[in-house]
Amino acid sequence: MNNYEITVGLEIHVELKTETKAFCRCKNQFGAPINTNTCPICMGMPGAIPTINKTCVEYAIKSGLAFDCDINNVAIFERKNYFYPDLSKAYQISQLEKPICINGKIRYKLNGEEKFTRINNIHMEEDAGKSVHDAKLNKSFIDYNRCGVPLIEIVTEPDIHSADEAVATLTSIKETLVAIGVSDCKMQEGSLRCDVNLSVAPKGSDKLGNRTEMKNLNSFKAVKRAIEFEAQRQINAIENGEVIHQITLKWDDDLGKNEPLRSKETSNDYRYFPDPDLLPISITPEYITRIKHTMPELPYDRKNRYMNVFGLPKQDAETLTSNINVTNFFEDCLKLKNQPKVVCNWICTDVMRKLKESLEEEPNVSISAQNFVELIDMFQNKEISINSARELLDRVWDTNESAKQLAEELGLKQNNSADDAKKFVLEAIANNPQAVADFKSGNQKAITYLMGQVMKLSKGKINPQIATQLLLEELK
Amino acid sequence: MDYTKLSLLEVSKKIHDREVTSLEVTNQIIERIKATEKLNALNSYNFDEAINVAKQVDEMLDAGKDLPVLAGVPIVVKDNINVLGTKTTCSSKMLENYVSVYDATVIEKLKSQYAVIVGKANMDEFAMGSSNENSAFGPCLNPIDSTRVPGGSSGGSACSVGAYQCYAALGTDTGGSIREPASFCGVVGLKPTYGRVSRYGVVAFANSLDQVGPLTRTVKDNAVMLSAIAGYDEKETTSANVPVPNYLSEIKNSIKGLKIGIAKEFFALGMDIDVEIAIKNAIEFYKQNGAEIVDVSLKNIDLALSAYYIISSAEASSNLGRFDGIRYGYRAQGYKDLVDLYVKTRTEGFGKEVKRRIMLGNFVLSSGYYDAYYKKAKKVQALLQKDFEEAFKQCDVLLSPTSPSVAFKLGEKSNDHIKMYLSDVYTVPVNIVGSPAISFPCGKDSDGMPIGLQLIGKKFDETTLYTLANYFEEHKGGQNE
Repeated sequence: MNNYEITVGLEIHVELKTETKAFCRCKNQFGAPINTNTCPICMGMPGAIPTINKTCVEYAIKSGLAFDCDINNVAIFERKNYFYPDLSKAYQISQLEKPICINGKIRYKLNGEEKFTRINNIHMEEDAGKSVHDAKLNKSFIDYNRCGVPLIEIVTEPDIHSADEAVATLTSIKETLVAIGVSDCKMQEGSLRCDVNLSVAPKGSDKLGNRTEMKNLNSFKAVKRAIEFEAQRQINAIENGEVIHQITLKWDDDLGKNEPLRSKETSNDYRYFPDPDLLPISITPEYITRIKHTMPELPYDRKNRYMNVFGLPKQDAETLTSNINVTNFFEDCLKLKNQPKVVCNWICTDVMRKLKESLEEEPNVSISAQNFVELIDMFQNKEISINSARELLDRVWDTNESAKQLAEELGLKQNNSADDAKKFVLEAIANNPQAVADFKSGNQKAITYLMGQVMKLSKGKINPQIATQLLLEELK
Repeated sequence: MDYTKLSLLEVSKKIHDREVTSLEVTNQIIERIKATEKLNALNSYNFDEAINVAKQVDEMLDAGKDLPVLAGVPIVVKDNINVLGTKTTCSSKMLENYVSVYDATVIEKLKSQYAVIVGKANMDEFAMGSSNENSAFGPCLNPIDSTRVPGGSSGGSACSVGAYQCYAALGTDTGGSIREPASFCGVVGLKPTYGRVSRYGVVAFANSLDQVGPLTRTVKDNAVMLSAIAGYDEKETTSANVPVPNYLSEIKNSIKGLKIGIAKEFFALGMDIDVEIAIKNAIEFYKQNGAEIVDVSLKNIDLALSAYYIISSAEASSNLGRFDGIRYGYRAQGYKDLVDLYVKTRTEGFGKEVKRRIMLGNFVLSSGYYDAYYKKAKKVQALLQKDFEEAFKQCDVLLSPTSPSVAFKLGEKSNDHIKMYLSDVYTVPVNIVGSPAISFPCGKDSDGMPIGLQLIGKKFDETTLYTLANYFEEHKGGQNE
């Protein structure tokens, strides 16, 4: 493997999170009952005519801006003609000659190194329906709910040279698109799909080998495994003197291998031409500027700000920006409590602990920022101990009951009274003459034992700092 | 009294004045349709619903309600326009039993004005043809001479209007499909400016060229119909957001000072002698009544027909892909697999002319040929648009015959496709440039067959076309001459 260089380019389909479909007013919704989100337009009934949902154009431009693309001054839709039962009009509305975005960059960090994958183009298109084959009945069924759902396809340059780089590129795409709110990028629901083009060539060669295309990659892990498998397969083939054929392969994640895919149409001439139902949309610099103003901070920039402005450690900054739910929670907390380091510490330790405990794939922060900040405040004001704070967090997570109220109810509130502290200190001293004697003879550890006694007497509620100070004074 | 021979405006006035009920008019129309059934003008009848609407209109009028002009007036709709609950067959075996699941925008408009839809008109299959002989349900016949064709593709619409089966019909025009049959049947047909009328719900032949337009017996009736169906439609973004005038009240009584352009290239294309005489007489008539005749040039006009067949076939080949036997329409029996299902369904479901155009369309779009054909045709389109813009700097309208000949005999051209295509030589350029054009009767040949005159206007200036056509009709006699 070390004598060969792998070259990978990605084609990533992302479903846009719009309210309605791309060319009709049907709901764009995952998991609806079969064929309920359909109408004459997305069903391709005779005479029905598509009209563009402008939000798709806006989201595509947003995505382009997020990856430093050039935005075309006109959006032209073309028809890609082919026959398949799940394609109701027998053409897919897509873009070929003038994709909406060109020449971008996907920035990512791998093993501490700054890298990027260039984007060739991002274009808009519509999704097809879903064919369901029932082997038992020997019948096929089609669900058209997905037909006409808006997509962008991100086509990268072949800049990727390892499975890890591919996954890092994908991760960056996902984080970015989720952050700008154009897609939820859930691979398991198909809102992010990735095809891998891969070739291998001897190291130092200036020519690329023949490439294969892999489909049906349903997780980042599958992408990684498939790239490793296919690279090895091609290398083995070359070593055995075989020729690599330019074919499409289907990844089987259970078997951990790929196999050739039957082509959808014998001929692959899609006969693209501009869709005469959809007039070109002009995209003015003013429009692009307006969209720019609605762009949130990108994860990559945000990470840098957290490090440079807030002075957060790199690892914490990464933790806070790798999950949009966490990022939003952090930002919400900052609005209520402008102490980035304090809030960061609490999130990176306690909130992350809770999220890791969750069984869900993409867990939500199940406590309001308000409640969480109140909890931190109680600790900072010495009203509760760190242990009580953690206990409280566990209890209010999911229920979002008021931590403040619960602290009262459970009697978790810390006792800050110096008088009470003195009482417990004196009692501990009186009850433990041996420990006192040990301390006085120079055994510093005895103080820990005595403090333990004080806490026990106070049922854990006395402020330990106040008590320690008093204890030391009494023992002088 | 026989109400069927009245014009739309006349019968509307009588219905609104309560001289006659819409029900009585509708019943007479139904009787007339039955009596002239052999013309094969209609693919399906909508009599029950028509009678319901007529009764509803009568009730409202009796109650003193103020209703639009079209209320209670029987009309016919071409069979490629969706009318909810009616069959929309496009005269194709492919859609023989297809029932519309929604109303086209033009139908919504007509229904909101309580027009009485009595039937769906025969046509060339998927609007491809100039004689109505390409119908899966048999040709429609010319109402003046049933040994001749009514023209196409809106042959049923034109025949129906000419045979007094209705007061107005909707047709569609992609390369002359309203104007040529209007000319052949001696009625008035208008192809509006591209974008003037919404195409939503009209089964597409060639989306960038198609327009819905009215066929009527008088010019004023036509103006009323256009006002009723025109306007921007947010469901169809090639429709234009341009205000719709009241075309009827915009018609002027004088044509003094209007400039009529005569393109020498049009007259070099060759036309029948009777047609040439009628057209020259019409030019003379306009001149004598104060219009100015201007010589103009359309130097690329000879390229129009080729560009038209490339662009329209390319779009059609893609539009017709959806007729695959999967979701609706005809499905062949006894297929082995998916590809076999497609092949058998489309082989059996489409007629010859449709298949010819699909093949042509797929060819001109295929890789390696796209630049040489489709792209070049789009360049020709741009050239022609420039030619017309230049011409319209010198004149208000262009005048030509609608067709080089009168209605030809059934079967006369069905085996000579090029000759058939040439009958559209005057009408096709208009769709390529997107202008409006009207055809109205300007005389008869020695056999008594009507000759159509075409006036082509500037974009969104249907008004001037109506003014000039109406002037001719009122002063020189139209179809009823």
